[in-house]
Amino acid sequence: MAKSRTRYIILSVALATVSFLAMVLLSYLSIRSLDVATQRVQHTDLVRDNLEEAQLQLKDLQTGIRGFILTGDARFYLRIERGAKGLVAVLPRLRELTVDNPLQQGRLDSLESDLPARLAEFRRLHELSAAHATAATGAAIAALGPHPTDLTSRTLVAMKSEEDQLLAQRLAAARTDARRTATALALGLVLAGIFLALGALLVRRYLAEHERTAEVNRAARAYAESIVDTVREPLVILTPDLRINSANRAFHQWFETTPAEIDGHRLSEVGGGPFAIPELLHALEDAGPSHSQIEHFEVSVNLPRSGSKVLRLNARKLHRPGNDTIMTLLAIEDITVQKRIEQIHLQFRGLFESVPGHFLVLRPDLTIAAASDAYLAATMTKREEIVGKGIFEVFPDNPADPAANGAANLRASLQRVLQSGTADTMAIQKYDVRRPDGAFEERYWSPVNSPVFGSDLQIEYLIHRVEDVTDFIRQKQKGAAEPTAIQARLEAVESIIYQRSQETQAALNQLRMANEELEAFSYSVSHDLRAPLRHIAGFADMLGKHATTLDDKGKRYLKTISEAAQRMGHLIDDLLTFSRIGRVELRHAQVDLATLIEEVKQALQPEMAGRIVHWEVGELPAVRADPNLLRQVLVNLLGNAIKYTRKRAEARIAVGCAPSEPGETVVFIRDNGAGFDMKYADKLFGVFQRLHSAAEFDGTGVGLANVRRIVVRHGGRTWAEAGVEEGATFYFSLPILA
Amino acid sequence: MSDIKNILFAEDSPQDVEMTLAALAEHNLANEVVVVDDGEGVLEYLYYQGRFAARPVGNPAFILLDLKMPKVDGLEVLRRIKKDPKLSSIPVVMLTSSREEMDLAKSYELGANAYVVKPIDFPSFIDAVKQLGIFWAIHNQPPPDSVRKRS
Repeated sequence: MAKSRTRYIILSVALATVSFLAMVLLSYLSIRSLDVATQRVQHTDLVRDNLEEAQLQLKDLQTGIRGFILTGDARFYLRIERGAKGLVAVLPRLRELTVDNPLQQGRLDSLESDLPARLAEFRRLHELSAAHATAATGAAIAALGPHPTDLTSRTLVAMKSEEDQLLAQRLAAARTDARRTATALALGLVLAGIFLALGALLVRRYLAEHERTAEVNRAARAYAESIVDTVREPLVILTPDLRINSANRAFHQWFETTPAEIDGHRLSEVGGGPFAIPELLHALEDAGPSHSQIEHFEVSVNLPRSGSKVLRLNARKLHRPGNDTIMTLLAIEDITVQKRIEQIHLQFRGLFESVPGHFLVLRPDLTIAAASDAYLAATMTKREEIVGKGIFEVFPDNPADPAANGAANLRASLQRVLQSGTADTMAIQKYDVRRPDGAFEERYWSPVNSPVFGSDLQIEYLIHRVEDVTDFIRQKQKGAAEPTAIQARLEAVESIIYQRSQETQAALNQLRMANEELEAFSYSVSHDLRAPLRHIAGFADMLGKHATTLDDKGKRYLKTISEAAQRMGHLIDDLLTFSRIGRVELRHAQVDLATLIEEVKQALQPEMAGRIVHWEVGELPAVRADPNLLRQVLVNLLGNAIKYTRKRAEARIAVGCAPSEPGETVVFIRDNGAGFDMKYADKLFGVFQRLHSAAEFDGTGVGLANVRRIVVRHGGRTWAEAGVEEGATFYFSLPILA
Repeated sequence: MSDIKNILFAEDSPQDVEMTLAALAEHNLANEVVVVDDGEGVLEYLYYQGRFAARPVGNPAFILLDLKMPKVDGLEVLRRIKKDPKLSSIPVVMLTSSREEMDLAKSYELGANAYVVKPIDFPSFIDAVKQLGIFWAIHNQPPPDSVRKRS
């Protein structure tokens, strides 16, 4: 921008100069040409003067001739001679002057050739007349009369008019030249003026801009200086040899100096020498040339006004654009208060850590924030090993103790504190401690967890306080403790609660293991027990086909083998179903009993083939139950009703709702079948309990056991009413769930 | 050699093998039945390895796969077959003596084409095997690329 402007300025000045030079050249040429024209005019003037003189002489000559002729007076003759002499004298001058004009030269030639002859003739006549002095001679001369000079006179007039013409021409030319010169000069002046004005304008603009930039720079500098001055931290700029280049107001206030006193002085000498520290000075020297910097260099100083201070120094290298010197900016920060707080913090931390109790401070994410020395000693840990880590990472359960639940209980308690915001006292916990060698040591603890709130009323920390009650528990276990005080009795109760909870835990674990074993057992039974049965049945059948000579008895044996195997297979299947019913998870859904019963009736259709069965299905509600299990209940009960009415010519089966207690639904299934003796009613729903022989009615004795299991798992009851050969009514109830 | 494809039958119980072969024979199935007694054998057959390194090229018409087998069990074999794009189109019928729901769910999840609980009652077992044989060997249209090339 500025560069192109400068270029424009140079260009316009150059153009103005060129215009001036052109004007000067033009003027010179014009003046020269004017000079030539003027000379020519002068020359012509000179020619004309000579011509006029020649005419004058000629006139004298003619007057002499005329007078002589009229009077014959000798005086006139002298005049003629004088005129002729003058004329002859002027002619060479004229020739010389008109040497460049051939026309005038020609005329002069004729004059020079004619005039002497005429004069000679006149002189001859004159001499003749002098001798004779007659009138006749005079007449003769008169006859010659004007003749000798007429031609001369005419020639001179012609020459004069020629020169007049030339003069007029040359004057005009000279005037034209003068006008042209004036025009060229005016034009050159105007052009030069324009270019100069343009240059001046550009220079003015350039200067204005320069002024503006300088103004902005001044403002920026003033702004920067005011910022530096208003910064509360002392700032000082150092030259590479660690002399003060400048310092801000804060610096001067702190060290009670003025710019005049310190500018240019060594940093080590300033303010009573707080900076005369060799390490600092070396570091600062290094911070200059190499690109490093100083951070957090702490110095203790005694300031004149504010006394003892701890200062933190930070230095940065400053590279100024357009300036090769590298300055160092040294910022000084007062960290006296900060240092004091740190000290207090450390003191309180030390106090907390040396408190005799066992304390652990946890953050809400259950990482360890702090621990008391006593706690570390009791848990055989080191502070640096546990602070910052998760509590359960540091204190895991003893893996060798299957009943260990200390970690789970502690986690639950801590969660309670986090949720309720109130302290939680835990029962005595067995929470073994891991020794540094990795082995666990048996320990019993009485923990209390309490929240610590921050200023925002959110839980900031959890304090986990424990008492090591291992010895007490061991004595208790030996029966040696003799509780007298209430505290002791409370501890005893806690101990009992702890033991009970341990027993419950153990029982639960056993149950879980038993369940898992049962699962594995069922699986094994279903696969491994069925395979040989299948083989017995299969090969018996193949034998039957293979043996062509087998008699009836042999065939019956084979059939018995097959049937026995099949029966055992059914028993196994039923047993597996029974065990599965106890284990599967209930999936509750809305079940429409009427629809379900219709479906089951359809499924049992093959059992009713060739029989007359009258169905009476009453109003049935929808219930909430596991649809698959409920279907199994109905398959069993309706299946039994069909099976035990087989000997009736017309079977009657009724299904409906019976009166019930509020909050439950009771369903009954009544048939007119074989019934049973009510004294065996309590055996009815047991596994493998049968009230009829297999020959009379087939079955495995698992169906009703399954019914009871399913109903009980739904929270209901089963029962039955019957008489021998009087039919039976089976009931089951289901609680009405929302 | 006919161009009727083989049936691959994996079963570790010799009794079950004999019964199943008897059932298949009774139905006069033309297919040759290749019997292996563990999951490893199935994989060797399918990948032309070990004792099957030199067998003629071609996938079986279908595979009867027992669930419980030594070394590599049926579920694992099923998983490997269904994961391999070259084998996944072979129909696989899981044979098992169990009705355990876990096995059933797992088999179908892994892509079994059918699941048959071996019945104890032999005639119905024969029936099941017969139906399987008919269904997969005769009625089921094999994927075009599984047709064995004539040598």
